[in-house]
Amino acid sequence: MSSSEAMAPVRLIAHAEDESTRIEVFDGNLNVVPGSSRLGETTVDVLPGVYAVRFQIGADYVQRIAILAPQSPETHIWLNDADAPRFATSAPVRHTKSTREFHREPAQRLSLSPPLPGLGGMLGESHLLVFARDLIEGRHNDPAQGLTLHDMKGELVADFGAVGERNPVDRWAGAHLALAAGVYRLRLSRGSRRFTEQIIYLAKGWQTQIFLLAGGVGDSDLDRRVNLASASVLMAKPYEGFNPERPDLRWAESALRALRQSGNIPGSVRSEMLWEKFQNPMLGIYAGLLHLRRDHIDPGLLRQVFHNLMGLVGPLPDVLAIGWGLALRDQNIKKDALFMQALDRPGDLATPPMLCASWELLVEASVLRPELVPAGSFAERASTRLTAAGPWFSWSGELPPPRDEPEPAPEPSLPGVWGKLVPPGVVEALTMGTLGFALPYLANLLARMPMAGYFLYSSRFTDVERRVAQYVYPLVDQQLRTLVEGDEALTAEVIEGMKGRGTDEAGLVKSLKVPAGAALRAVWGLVRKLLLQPVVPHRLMLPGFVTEEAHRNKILESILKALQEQSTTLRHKRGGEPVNALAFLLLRYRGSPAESSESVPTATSLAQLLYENEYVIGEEANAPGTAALDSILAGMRAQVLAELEEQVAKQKIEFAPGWQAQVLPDPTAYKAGALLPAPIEQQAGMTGSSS
Amino acid sequence: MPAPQLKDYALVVGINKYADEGFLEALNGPKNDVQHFVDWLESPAGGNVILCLLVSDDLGKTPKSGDIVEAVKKLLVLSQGGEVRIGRRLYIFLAGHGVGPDLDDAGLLTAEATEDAPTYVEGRRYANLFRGRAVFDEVVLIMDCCRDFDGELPDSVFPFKRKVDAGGAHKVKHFYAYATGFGKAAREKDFGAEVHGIFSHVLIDGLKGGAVDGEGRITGPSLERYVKKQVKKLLPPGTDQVPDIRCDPDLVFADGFPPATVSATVEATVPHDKLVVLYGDGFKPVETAPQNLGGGKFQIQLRIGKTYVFQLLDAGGAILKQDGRAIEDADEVTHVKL
Repeated sequence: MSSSEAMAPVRLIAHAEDESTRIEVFDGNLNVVPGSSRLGETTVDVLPGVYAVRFQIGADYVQRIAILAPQSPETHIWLNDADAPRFATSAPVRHTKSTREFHREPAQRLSLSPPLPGLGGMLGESHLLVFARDLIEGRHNDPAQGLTLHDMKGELVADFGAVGERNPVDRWAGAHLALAAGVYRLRLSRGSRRFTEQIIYLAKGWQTQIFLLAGGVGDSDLDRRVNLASASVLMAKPYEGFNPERPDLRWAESALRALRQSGNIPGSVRSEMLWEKFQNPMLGIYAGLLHLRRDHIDPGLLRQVFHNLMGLVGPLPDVLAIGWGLALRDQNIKKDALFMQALDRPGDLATPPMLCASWELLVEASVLRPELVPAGSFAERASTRLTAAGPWFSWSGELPPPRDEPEPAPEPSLPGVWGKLVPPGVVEALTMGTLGFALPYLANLLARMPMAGYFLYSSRFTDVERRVAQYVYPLVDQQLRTLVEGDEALTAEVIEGMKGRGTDEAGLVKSLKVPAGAALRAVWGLVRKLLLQPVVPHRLMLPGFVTEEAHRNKILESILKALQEQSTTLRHKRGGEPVNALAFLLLRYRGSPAESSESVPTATSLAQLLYENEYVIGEEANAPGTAALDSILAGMRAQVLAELEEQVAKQKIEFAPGWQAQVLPDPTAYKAGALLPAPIEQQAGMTGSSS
Repeated sequence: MPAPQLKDYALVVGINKYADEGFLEALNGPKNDVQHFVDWLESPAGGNVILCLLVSDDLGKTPKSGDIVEAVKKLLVLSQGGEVRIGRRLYIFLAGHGVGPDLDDAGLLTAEATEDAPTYVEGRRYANLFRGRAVFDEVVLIMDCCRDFDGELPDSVFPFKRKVDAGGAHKVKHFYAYATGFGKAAREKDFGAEVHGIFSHVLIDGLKGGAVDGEGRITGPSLERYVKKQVKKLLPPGTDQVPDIRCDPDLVFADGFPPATVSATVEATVPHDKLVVLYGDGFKPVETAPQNLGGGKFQIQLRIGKTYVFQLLDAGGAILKQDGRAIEDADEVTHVKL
């Protein structure tokens, strides 16, 4: 045998019965063999020698040694469940680190006991088992304290700190309820106003089982609560209940762990096929989502997973996400009208999926179908409050109410001056839902509006609008702008680095984790609030005002235009240029473009609007009260009056007697075109001095 | 004693105190961790390091994001637009409160962070800035902070263009170590005299010699193994903090230590002529011979950080029985029954 034959690579295949086990092969120096890291199964071709095969679940692993002799046939290393690493799970499933006999027994018994009704008193056709437990001996508080179930309106359905059974000695509390099939919010409260929620789906004819472990080692007994992030969610037929001996439950638990890290990629397809045998929809969902992480998917298999899940539990958002994930990866599926029709159910996506991995697929799909997640829906609003909760889609606190925001103009272009401000193509893009076209325009708009960075932080702008603005044009952030100020090279680097980013719609929705429809509405909101309906009129709005108020007289026009270069004491609290005098007049007499009222605003309503949008008076940053606004107007009136008197004295212009009272009149008596008195030639219909 | 290193650079940031104490309460460990790390950097093992040190002031006003950006700018200037190699190795050590902006990164909250404007710097982005431009041979990122995810996090402060030297970037070795996994907390511990981050404490101990492998080196993988095992030992019961470390296998932090070895015992249960111990891919012979203790028992000194096969051979050299082991730590007890 030649030395080259002796050192020819040989094949090593490692398998784990639990498909979600991460397998890595280590060489003789205990370095990972490149490309060996896979879930469930891995195959490597390596030189003969001694290798360590590591099977890891969570933080724990077991190791096997593979001795690969020269010219040996394929060597298989197996790990069965009995030898697998014991990982901790919230469900007291067999062969896990956190299982306890004194938790397994009551959980199983409760799951098979007659269910209780919810607060309404009606027994529904779906079952819910909630079982909270604490592993630390010596804890005395109720592990279910602060845990409640609510309907989608927020009404309390069950308080798990009060219903069901509990055993303080063994540190568990559980309840088995029969509720109407549908969507619920599982809430964990920490104090009177702080809470975290996640979504729960109860399917007709199924028992949804939620297991939770108390966390917070080191906390006092009073503060010790369950941890939603590590919740286990399982489903079973009610007559089967919770059976901790079922091997598929352990697989479901480890698949759920695998979903927490994007680098976990399955190595074989056994579990995708096995899940159905056990009629375990949650394992089917986990396996489907994990399968979509592969470089090469099996469309036929995923299609079957999708259809079977639809048959078992219906169009839950997580099931639809798998369908959309398949459509995103396989062009042939997109051409399948029937399959796509089955996916096109925005009504079912008004509530979010249970898993973050599902949400990421739906967000990606929304680039193709911006209306996929309905505007203002619970799902969309919850996505703006996403919080850390392991693999679960979870949010904190009350969601913002649906905003009554105007939709983009339905016309393909805006009339008059607006048409010049917003090109027709952009309006069309905003109307037709094409983010890719609208984003570069927004980036350009933000680049030309240095004040935008100050405005964005007022309550008028939504979180999504702020995040979209920062994504497409990072320099809108005043902190970043300050950092690079005066450094041309660095500014150029930032701008260069942004190139291409503004047009990357998929990148935007993935990064922000908001649906494309919401991102598009945010773009429209930004365009509308910054450009079309700003709180204080911007410079582009002023020429029209001058034209309307100057009576076509050069002198009046000149006096008004000069006001544009004069600052008032009104300014934005966060910085930027003060409001110019002409913009102030337009604001005071015609009202804020942000408010659609046709009538002249009262000083009180204007002061309130300015206050809400963080405008202040002077360096002292006083609130913009009515007296302050009146004082600014009075000063301007005196100034304009003096200028006109000078022009009258020089006989450059002539007014009818009593004209002084018509200079910047009392706003309550103002009508458009009557900001200044009309010159006499004008009154006689002469236009000789007009420009 | 390890040989002195070539020129290295270090950006070391420790934030104990934050301006908005209602949002981020003061920590006890980061300044101590930074001091320990600097002590190691300035020791002969750490080598010839040019250090930029940013630590909290008493008011919690600094270091701000801008201070870190300024430090990075100054360092980047040395590369003359990415054309010049700056040094052999860059260390970025960041300790303080943190966030988890995504699965693969951690963000150090900077002193000016508030609940509404949680300013932070993403360690990996800054490390990759230098790695991508290939202006160092090696980039080491160490972050001892939590990695809580918050969907409302704004973008981090990063005013730099992503220039990539396509030819050179892949040759830059890296060692990126986060104290904990994505979405998880990192913990401090009172070690008697001082409070330290558990992760930093262990990692610096490893660099000081705890993580020496069987070749007398401290490598990325040997440090990773050491840190993961030791952190687990120091955690309070029931807590979950698994360091997240990604590294190139051939990054060597220090060399020239005595090789770390363990004493393994072998018990033969069948008649045989010879005991052979080979290691690694390629079945290389070990340099020490087994010592026969009598009664079929042998003892052999083996280097750690390797895989071994123990074989009982007959007179013709045929294998009668064999078994394998991977020896990771100096404190492992290895007993092989054949």
